[in-house]
This record gives sequence, structure tokens and C-alpha cells, in this order.
Amino acid sequence: MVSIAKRPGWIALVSVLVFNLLLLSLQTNQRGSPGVMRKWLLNIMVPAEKLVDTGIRGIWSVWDGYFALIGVRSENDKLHTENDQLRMQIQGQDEEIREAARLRSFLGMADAGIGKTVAARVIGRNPTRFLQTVTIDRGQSDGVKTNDSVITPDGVVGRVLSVASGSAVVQLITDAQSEIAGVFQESRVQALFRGTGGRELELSYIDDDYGIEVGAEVITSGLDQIHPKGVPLATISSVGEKKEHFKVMFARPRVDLSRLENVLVVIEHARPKGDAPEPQNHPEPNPASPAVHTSPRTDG
Amino acid sequence: MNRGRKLGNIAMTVFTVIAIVVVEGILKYRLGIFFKPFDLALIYCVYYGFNFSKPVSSVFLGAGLGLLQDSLSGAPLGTNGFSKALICFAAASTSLKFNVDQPITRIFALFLFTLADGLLVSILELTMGTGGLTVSSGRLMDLVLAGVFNTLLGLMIFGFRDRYRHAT
Repeated sequence: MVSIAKRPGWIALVSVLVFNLLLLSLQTNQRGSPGVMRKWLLNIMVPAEKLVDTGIRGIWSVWDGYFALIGVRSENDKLHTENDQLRMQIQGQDEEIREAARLRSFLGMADAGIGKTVAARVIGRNPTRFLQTVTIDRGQSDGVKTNDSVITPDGVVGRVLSVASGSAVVQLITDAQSEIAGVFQESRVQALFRGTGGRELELSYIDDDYGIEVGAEVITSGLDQIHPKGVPLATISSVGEKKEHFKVMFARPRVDLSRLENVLVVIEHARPKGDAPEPQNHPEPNPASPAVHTSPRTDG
Repeated sequence: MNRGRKLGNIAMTVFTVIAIVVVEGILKYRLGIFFKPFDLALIYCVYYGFNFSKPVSSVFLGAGLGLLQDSLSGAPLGTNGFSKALICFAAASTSLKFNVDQPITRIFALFLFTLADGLLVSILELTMGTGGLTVSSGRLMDLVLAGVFNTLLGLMIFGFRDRYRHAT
């Protein structure tokens, strides 16, 4: 019989496998739990990732600034025309906005904003094949916490899964383990969507599926206590036959998650008016932290 | 081998491991779906195992690569660490028993190791209750596709290695 001492490879393998299994057993049902080791590894990886990303962006900016300017003049003229048209539209809508604000104050509704957000840049994507996550360049030192909502002006992106001091990993809404509470914008029917691991969301629960058609818009309901209420979520892309309790439905996220560049992390949800210490209609930006700002609700 | 050179080699390997995971993360972000099937870390595991035929260092290299992947992916720490350590060890052991300079051995090894890695990661995630994944034909198809792409990229990398070795 061969002595085990003569097989250092096997000893190393067993030790490493046992170490990994122990690590796994510490995280059962707590994917992305903020352990010391994960923070430590993220703090090693993210500076390197930022460095390479900055280099790539530098090369791109040279390309964009010098070589990709062909045809800019005609595009500029077209944009000027569009700009004039939009300014006229805005003038028309200004009055409607004032009227809506007046009506809202009559109804005693809270000034529904999203809350305090931090602007972040996406610097990397999940290096494995199966999970849908991205890395952003803001972390604990910027006020980002686990389970903070991540959005863009177009809609919801996902939630913060784990945080290091200067970076965070964000689980996209299409990740197979993601679930998000929504409400149909027109019918106000509550629903729960989960990620498919692909490019769409699948309906996992709905109060009443009657009358839901392809093209129906879904916004966040805020019931999951992660995402702010009223942010655009997805558009229903297919409605199938009834299966068990309700129809099989798929929805396409409003945000193109394959082309994410800049996102907003909601580090503090907007409070109802009564809870706010001092109502401020036009908050002054803090010069010490230019990335932190309060954004108005984009929709709903 | 003197001590300084040995330390230099270790530092170089650590740098390569970090560079591979960082480059892979950035390429997946920049190229999106086109880069999805590739797993540079797995290809490097097989390359290292075949090239150096050292089971002990291969195990630690595989575990390191996997843990760094887990840290960036948000997967439970140890999922890829476990599978990559095993794959790296298997690659190093294979190189001690078979002629890994033969293209057919490389093709089989790269393809089978990709499948094994995918299955191991899926099983671990299902066991952990964190994957939210089910075994479906689409998922198996993805795995086979990843096997094909990784094999092609791996063969190219081995081709460069052969050319470099013959040139020196």
C-alpha cells in the first residue's frame, strides 16, 4: 500500500477541497454574505479592475475624440432642430407640471422622490458563466450597503449583493435568483417577477391576470422594501396559457442590462413628508461628495 | 533553482492569476454575450496543469483562481474555488499519465474539463440553495457550447505555447 505521505498532491487537494467546503458551509442560503474574506478579495481585485478599465476607457476616449467625429456636423444640425422642438414641448408641459404639483398638495400626498443616490460606474461583469452580476466602483465608503437598490433613469437594474470599501457587486434583476415586486402601471395589479438567468423576467405571482396583454408596463411597487416605488421595471413581452394558478408571462427589463455603464445606487429611500426633518424643495449639492445627490422620481 | 528565482516565479503566477480574472471580468462586460461562453480561468488551469505537471501547485493555483472568480461574481465563496482546484489537479495528473502534446488529448481534456466544471458549479449551487437553477436542455446546451468555445480558444493558446517552445 502506498503511504499517503508519498502523495503530496492528494494531501493538497483534500486540504483545499475541505477548506472550500468549509467556506461554502458558512454561507448556506446567504449568497454574497459580507464576510471578511470576500471583502479582502474584492479589495484586491477591484483596484486592478479599475486600473485596466481606466486604460481601456483612455483608448476609447482617444478613438471617440479624434477618429469617430466624422459626420458630427450634420448630426449637430439635426440635434439643434430637435432641441428647438423639445424646448417648445417643455414650455407646454411646464404648466401641466405645476398643475400636477398643486393637485398633489391638495391630496396631501408625500412628495414622492426616490431618495438619496450615489452615482456609480460599472467596471466589470461576473467572470463566471452562470450568474448575472456586475461590479461597480462605489462601496461602503460612499454609503453603499447590501440590498441597496440600483437603478438608472430608464428603470431598475438590480440590488447590491456584497460590498467592499470602494466597490460593490450588484445582482441584476435577470439573475436566476433575483425576485422583485412590481405593479402594472395601468391596472395597478400587484405582481412578483423573478429572473430567468437569461434576458427576461418571468412572472412568479400575480393577484389577477385578467386583461394583461403584451406591451403592458410594469413599475416597482416598493413592497419588497429594496427598490423605491414607481421606478420603471419591465414591459410584458409574452403572455402564454394558464399554468396552475395564472398565465405564464415574460417581461423584458426596461433597462438594457447588457449595455450598462452608469448607474445610481439608492442609499437612502425617500421618507414620507411627515417623517422628513425639514422639507427642502431644492437641496443644495454637497461639494464634499459630488456624487451624492437627490434625484426626482422618473416615472409613475 | 535559487530562492530569488523561485519567489519571482510565485509572484509572476500570482500576478497572472489576478490578471486573468480581471481581464475576464472586463471582457465579459465590454463584449457581453460574445464572451459569455469563454472561461479564461478554466483554460489557464488546464494550461498550467499540462505545462508544469505539478499537482500540488496546480491545486493551489486552481483554488486561488476560483476564489477570485467567486469574489467578483457574488457566488458563494468556494464554489469555483472547489471546482477549479479539482480541474487543475486533474489536468496536472493527466499530464503525468498521457501525452498532452497530442491535439486529440487536448481537445478531449478541454471539452471534458469545461463540462465537469459547469456540472460541479451547478451541483454546488443547487446544494447551497443559492443558484436558483434547474437542469434544463437549454442549460446543457450552453455548457456544450462553452465546451466547444473553450476548446477552440485553449487549442489556440496551446498552439502559441508550442511555437514559443520550439522557437527557444
